[in-house]
Amino acid sequence: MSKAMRLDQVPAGAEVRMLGFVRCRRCGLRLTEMGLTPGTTIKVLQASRGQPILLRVRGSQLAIDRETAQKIEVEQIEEGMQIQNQGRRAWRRAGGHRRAGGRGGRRGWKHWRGPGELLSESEGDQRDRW
Amino acid sequence: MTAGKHYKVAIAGNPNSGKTTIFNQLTGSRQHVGNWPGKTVACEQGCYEHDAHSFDVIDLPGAYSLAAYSDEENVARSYLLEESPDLVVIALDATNLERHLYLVIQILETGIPAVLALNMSDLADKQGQLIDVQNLEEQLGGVPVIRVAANKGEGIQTLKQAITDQIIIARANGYSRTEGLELKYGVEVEREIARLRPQLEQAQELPSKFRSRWLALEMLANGRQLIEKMDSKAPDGIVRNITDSKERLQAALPEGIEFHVADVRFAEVGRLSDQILAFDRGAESAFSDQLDRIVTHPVLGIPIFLAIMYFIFRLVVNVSAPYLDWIDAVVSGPLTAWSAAALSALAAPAWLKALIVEGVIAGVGGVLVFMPGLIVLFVFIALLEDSGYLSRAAFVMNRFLSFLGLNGRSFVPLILGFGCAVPAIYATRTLENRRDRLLTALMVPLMSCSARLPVYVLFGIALFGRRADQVIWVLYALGVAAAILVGWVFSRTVLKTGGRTEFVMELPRYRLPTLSGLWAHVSVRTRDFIEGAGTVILLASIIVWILLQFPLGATSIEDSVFGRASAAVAPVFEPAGFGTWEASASLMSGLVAKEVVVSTMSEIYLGSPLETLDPEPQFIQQLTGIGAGFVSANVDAGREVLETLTPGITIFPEPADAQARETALSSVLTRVFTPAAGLAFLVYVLLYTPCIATLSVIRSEFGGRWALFSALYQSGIAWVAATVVFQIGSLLG
Repeated sequence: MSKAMRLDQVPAGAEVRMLGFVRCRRCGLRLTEMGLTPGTTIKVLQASRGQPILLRVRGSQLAIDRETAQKIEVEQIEEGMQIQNQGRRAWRRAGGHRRAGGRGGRRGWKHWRGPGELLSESEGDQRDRW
Repeated sequence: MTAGKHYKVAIAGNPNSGKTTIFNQLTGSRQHVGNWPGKTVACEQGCYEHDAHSFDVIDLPGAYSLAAYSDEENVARSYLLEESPDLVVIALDATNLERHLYLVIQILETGIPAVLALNMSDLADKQGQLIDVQNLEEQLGGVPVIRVAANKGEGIQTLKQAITDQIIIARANGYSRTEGLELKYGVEVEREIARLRPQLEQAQELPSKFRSRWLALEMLANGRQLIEKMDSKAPDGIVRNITDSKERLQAALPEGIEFHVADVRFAEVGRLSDQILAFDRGAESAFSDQLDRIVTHPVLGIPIFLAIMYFIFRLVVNVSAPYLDWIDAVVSGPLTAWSAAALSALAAPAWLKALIVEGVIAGVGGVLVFMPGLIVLFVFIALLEDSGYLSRAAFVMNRFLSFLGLNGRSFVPLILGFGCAVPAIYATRTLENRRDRLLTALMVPLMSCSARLPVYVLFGIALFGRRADQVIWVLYALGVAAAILVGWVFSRTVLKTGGRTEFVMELPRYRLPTLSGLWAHVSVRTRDFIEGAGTVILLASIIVWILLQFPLGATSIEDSVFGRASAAVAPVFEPAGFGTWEASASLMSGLVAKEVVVSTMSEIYLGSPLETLDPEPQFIQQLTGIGAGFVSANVDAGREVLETLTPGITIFPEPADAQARETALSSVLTRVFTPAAGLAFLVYVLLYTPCIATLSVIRSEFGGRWALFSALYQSGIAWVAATVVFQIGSLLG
């Protein structure tokens, strides 16, 4: 298994996967609603001493302070682990869309197996976290 | 319009999604647009007509979600819940769709009819981002998705048509039965929803446009506001049942229902964006990253910011000076002469002539003279806002603000304070806790606002000549230093930190400011300034003039009511070097608005231009004089711009008469003030009691006691600082 660590220890340039919040219930909600949910890929753009950390999350840039970053548990993304661990995005990046057919990763409405699929996915996330 | 109906439309969206631009295009009005999160902090309202119906449009503050963390997000949420508009236009940034879909899902779940405005779709096209609009519509259950490029006005007509159509469809179906997006939240949550729904459908007190499914979920996840609202009226059972359901969920979902709900929604966001976005932003804005690496650099970031600010203020002062001469020459020369002549021709009584020439023209004209410099300042504040740099500066300054127990988010209101303290204090609503808001609001008035600039420029040019720009830069820096000092003291005394506040801020994408965007900013602020000159300053000028005339028999204005009252106050300022009654009079009238300091001075010192006027004005000659003056002012200003842009290189040798730049008022000031006294006076103007408009905003936002506190502490430090400056200045000679 890959090593779990806190977001404030991640060097600039690295990409990590969000696991969950540590001892931080209310404060995490704001971040959650800005897209920092378990399973999300986080790219650390800047991590200089004395400054907030600059991240790219879901296509937007977020600045968060170090104390908050300390409460976010992440794991390194390793080659080969990506497909199982990374959820849909990595699955697609790893070529998953070619299996599903269609251009650019579109699976189309008809291929969706209904809300159940969604449920099982989010439950999977929970198990990961708790 | 005759048969048409009246509808309420709200525009919602994440910060920086272009809500305000869409609002402006729909209603044809000119609201400020800014590229920083939290620009619209209160609702803006406008209206338009389409297909014989009329639409009231509300521009809601930007929000990442319908949960309310800060006062500004609460505005959006409360509006949707309490006003229940007929339709919500959800503004989306097509270049950053994934981030914006979360709010879409939240709003669609409520069941309020909606239209999606896919803004900046031209930009997305350019970036090679393919968005399957049709598929998105399908996935969201038939909600229209309109491609819009709001800054160019593209797609606005289609948007209007879609709004009208959707409202008519929703009306025909009855709002409560509107089909909409439905997510499944897992067995436990669904069970509780099913349990609550029938009861909620019975409850008449709840807004009817929302789906009962959403109401139930909202009650469970985040419903304090809704529950409180129901508490008084609802049948007893409901509130208790909700509490029971919440307790059961607490046990079933240890991470908390809010997190669970957000997770499910983001899973849906991920699914949607996988299906509708054909390209990831792989080569994501390399330029933006490069630029960020430089401007947010831990070492370079702060010097870069300071250099930008120095450059701005230098340009403001240097560009305004030539126009200042020109307008001043026009106002105090031909304009005064013409109006005097015109009033004589109309056989106006002598007192009216005196009021208009000595009161209104000297007072209001004395302030309007500073328009060019202020326009330059407004252009630069607009550039900072629109380009997206302001958020980067906030990121860089976070370090300093954290000493005060504040964070970088407080920086944006502080910078806006350079324009005007009133909107800056409103902008503190983006901060999440009251202590941070209050501390920031107390610091904002120390950031030198644009109304104080006329005083600096007037004194600077009169007393310090070519070094005026440096003096003014020092004043601005002093204001910032005072703000930091005051913040430091307060954060250790009256406003102790209530625990750490987390700093989370989105840095918006850089955007090339558009001319129309800049124009929107600058025209609104300029109009505000002119309106201020036409109302508050006009009124203050007239009152000052009247106070200077009474009692009627007085031989000189010093014996007037105002003169005597000011003379009584004057000794207080003796240690600071400006213990004259004229200075005290200007400062007292400056409480109304800081520009009034200048207008009162010009009324007092240039009180009787009528006697010195040429009785036979040479109309044509003066007219050509005005024209020639304007041309040479443009040339001078252009030269200053080039000189400022190329530091260290002298393109144009100094003209021989450069030192001779002098207005009527400034020549008086050179006689009355020594440089040390003048500087002390400027320091006092910089720091003393905020103007009435600012105090009343502090009062309405934080209560009268804090407004009083702000007024008192600022006059205190102003007096001390001015005295220190004068005493040291006198020692040094």
